[in-house]
Amino acid sequence: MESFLKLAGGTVIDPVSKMAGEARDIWIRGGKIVSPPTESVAHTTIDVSGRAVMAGAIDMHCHIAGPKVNTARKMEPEQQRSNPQSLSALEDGILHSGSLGSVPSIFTTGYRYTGLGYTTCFDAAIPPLAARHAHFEFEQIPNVDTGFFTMVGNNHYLMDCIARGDESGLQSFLGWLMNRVGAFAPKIVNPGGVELWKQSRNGNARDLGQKVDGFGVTPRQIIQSVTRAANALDLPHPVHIHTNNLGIPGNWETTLETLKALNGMRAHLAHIQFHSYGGGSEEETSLCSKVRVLAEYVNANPELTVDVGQVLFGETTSMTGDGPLGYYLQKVSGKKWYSADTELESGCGVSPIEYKNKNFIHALQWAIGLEWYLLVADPWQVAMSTDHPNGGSFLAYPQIIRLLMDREFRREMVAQLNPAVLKHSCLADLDREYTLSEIAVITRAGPARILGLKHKGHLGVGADADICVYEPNSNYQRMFELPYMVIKGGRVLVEDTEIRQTVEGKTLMANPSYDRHRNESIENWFSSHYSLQSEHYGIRDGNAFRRQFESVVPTKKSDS
Amino acid sequence: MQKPEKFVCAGCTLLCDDIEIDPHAANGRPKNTCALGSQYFAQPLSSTQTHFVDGKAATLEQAVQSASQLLRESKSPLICGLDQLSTEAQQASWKIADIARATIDTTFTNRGRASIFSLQKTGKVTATLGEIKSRSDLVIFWFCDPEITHPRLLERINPQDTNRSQRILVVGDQETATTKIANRFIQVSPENAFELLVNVRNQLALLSNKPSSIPAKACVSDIEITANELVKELVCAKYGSIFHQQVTENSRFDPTSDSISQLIRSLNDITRFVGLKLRTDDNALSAENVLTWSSGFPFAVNHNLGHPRQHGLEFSAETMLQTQQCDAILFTSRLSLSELVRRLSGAARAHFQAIPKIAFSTHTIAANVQFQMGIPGINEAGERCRLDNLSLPLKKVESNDWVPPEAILEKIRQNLIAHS
Ligand code: SF4
Ligand SMILES: [Zn+2]
Repeated sequence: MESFLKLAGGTVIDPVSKMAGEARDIWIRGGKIVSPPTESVAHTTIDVSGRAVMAGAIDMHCHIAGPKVNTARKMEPEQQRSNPQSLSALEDGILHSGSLGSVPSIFTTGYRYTGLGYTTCFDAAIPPLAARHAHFEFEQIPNVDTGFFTMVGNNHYLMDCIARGDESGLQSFLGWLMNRVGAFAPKIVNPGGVELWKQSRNGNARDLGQKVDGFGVTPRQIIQSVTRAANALDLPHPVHIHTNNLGIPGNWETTLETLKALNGMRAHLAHIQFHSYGGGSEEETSLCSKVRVLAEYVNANPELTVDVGQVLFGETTSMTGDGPLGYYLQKVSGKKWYSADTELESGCGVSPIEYKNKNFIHALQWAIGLEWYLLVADPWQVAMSTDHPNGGSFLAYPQIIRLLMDREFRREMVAQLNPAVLKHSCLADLDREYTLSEIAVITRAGPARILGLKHKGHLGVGADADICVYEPNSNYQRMFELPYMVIKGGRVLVEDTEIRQTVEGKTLMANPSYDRHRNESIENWFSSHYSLQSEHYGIRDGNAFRRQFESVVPTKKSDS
Repeated sequence: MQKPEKFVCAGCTLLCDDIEIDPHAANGRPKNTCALGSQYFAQPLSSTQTHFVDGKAATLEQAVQSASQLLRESKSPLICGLDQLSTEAQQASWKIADIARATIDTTFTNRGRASIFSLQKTGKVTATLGEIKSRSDLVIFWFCDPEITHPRLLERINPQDTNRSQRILVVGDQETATTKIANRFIQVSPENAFELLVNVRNQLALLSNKPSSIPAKACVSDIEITANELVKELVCAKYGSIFHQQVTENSRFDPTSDSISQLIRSLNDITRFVGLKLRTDDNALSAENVLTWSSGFPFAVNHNLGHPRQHGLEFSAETMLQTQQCDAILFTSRLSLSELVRRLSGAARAHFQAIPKIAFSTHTIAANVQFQMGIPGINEAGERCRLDNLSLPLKKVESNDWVPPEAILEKIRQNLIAHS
């Protein structure tokens, strides 16, 4: 039987068990956190006294795998060349080489997440048809558990169900799809808009009431129906929404409409920073922050959650399942552009992008992101993200933490911005500073709750022994940049800030129960519409995959 | 009623996955294949898996041992022919390349790689086959002949909905099987292809966003007239698609490759357009994917310095052999050794023959170590990538208990790690 590991004397910061810095021992066995043994047992002790102990962090919205991510790597060799990563030997095993552009190679992705104390991450936009590719990449990511959200917001079967008012059909389809492709949650990307752009070059869904040609449904109906069906299926993370008009001045109204359309249902809005812009005329300086009014709505509706999609200055890559947005971004930048239309399901756009602090729009986007963190009253409703790599790399998370915890540092950064920004953002008026506990909320406890991961994001008995130990430092960026120790599933991966060993992660999927009576008609529809056979779609052929799949138990069932 | 199991055909990069095999028919004759596919499935199969060391039959363990030894002794190994392997085996190959500080490449040749360089310069606008089937009202075949290379392509992108028409246009230098069934054939010589594209793009630029007004300027040269004809076709499409190959697939550089990508991209300012390379390089697309997610680069990656490097074709298999920069080779090929050697360029040929060889091959091939592999999709399973970048699982039609390449490669990897 596996022996006990005792993490002794650390300063525990665990918002779930309401510990905000008490010295406490943590006992680990069999990959889980266990109660302290009542009698003396053989164990190994690691002394972490004087150091901060938190659960492993969770990135709930990033882009790390699948065809669009990989094409971004493929089309940007200049970025890969700028930061090669060397092969290195561990006592038992190796760290593979790779490259660290804005889209790191897959092994490097895993090592870097580990190095920051992240033990779980979710790719936010995998077309169902690309599921097999994504799972193959996931198999190679060391150290982190992963999962993905699969795109449904422009799915033909689903829109047909909505058009006929067939709610149970929609539910069956969602259940079938989640199971078939091994997804963790449904993702809505520019509902209806991607389909319209596939239909015609000027096509897009510009407001929630616009009808999608050929289907007769509106983005509002798509959002509402999917959210209702996903909640009825009791998915751990019912729905992840990238609403219409991303990045467009004046889009805050669409965002507010989206929040209202959700009407009390549990739902999550992704990279909300990109959806919070006032203004509207063609004049770019008309752009302004509308975070206050949107955050107020979120504050009043605890079932709603957001992640930020913070922008950071520097070169990166925009990548989105929002085809028309991809088209728009490359028109603005003139840089290389990858677009791929996926039959019956989705689209995508990839293009390099550079954010500059002297550029008015970029600086305002930066400020708007920070406003979100500071204006959502309850940190449980806001999760940290850069929408990696869209707003910037996940490697910037420690810097964001410092910006939130240290208002002097924030002021210094604000002083370097294009000064026009402060006329359009209230950032300079916000004095709030996050506490360590609040940081623990927005980087692990909150994402775990939003995702319905009862066994992650906290240090209570029964949780996965995914743990991160930090050396206190008044410079919080330093503190979070180099965790002293990272433990995954009870095994010490990082010790004294260096990776000592690697482990295989798991793939988290939803696997809901649903009414299977419709399976046959779904399969028949599939056969007559797709360019492949349904038996070759998704992970029905599960044998191909080596990695362990873990089905996350639905939220209500695990309560009872 | 139980539906019959469907198999994937690896006869070309279309990977038709609706193949039925009647186990009772003589020879397990496949249903739904084209002539090329039937040929593929009719390949003779070995009944037993035999590995060889220095020409003598050896156990798998002995062969793994010898292969690992050769890799350890090599200062600069080359791993190539990944286009013949499954995604799983390609992944295992890269891990070996990383540990052995090897150079790794997808194919044996520098030819036919222009499209990746175009992707890196311009990008790409593309779609899956089903999207083309359901939306594309104009399909252009640019210097390619799918009726011969991808015989079921037209069937698979032809709309079933009879209310929709799909116009087929071929641009190329000679009549082919595909021009016979096309609505229109625009003839242009390979030498003039680039100029034609320049003209098309210029005329489109003049149109800007007013697709209704075909430029009034009189066309003077033949090429301008041809370009104008093509432009008229292009702007009428609602969702056009261009299937292309290099104008001379056999050449190393192809100036039209960039132009085609730029043309497809700019057509999206006027209407919707997508492009797909009609690939003929087996599973090379998957190899590019695996190398990219592993190292950051799609092909010709060198790990000599302990980290991945790629500069054009500096570290390609062909260049490494030509310049004698590798001192051992681990490769996969389904060709006979003489045919493989014949296809190499002069300098590469001599060096290939001179260095120690570890081969994965479907049949016996003279090498220091030879592992026998099955024929993908017949007696070997594994993942492949369709030409539109869709990942599909190949199954075995004939069951066997052969150890697949990825498992053998994994044994070699473990051996290398254990003795490092
Ligand atoms: S078109 Fe290609 S994949 Fe399809 S059956 Fe013929 S050879 Fe096989
Ligand atoms: Zn995103």
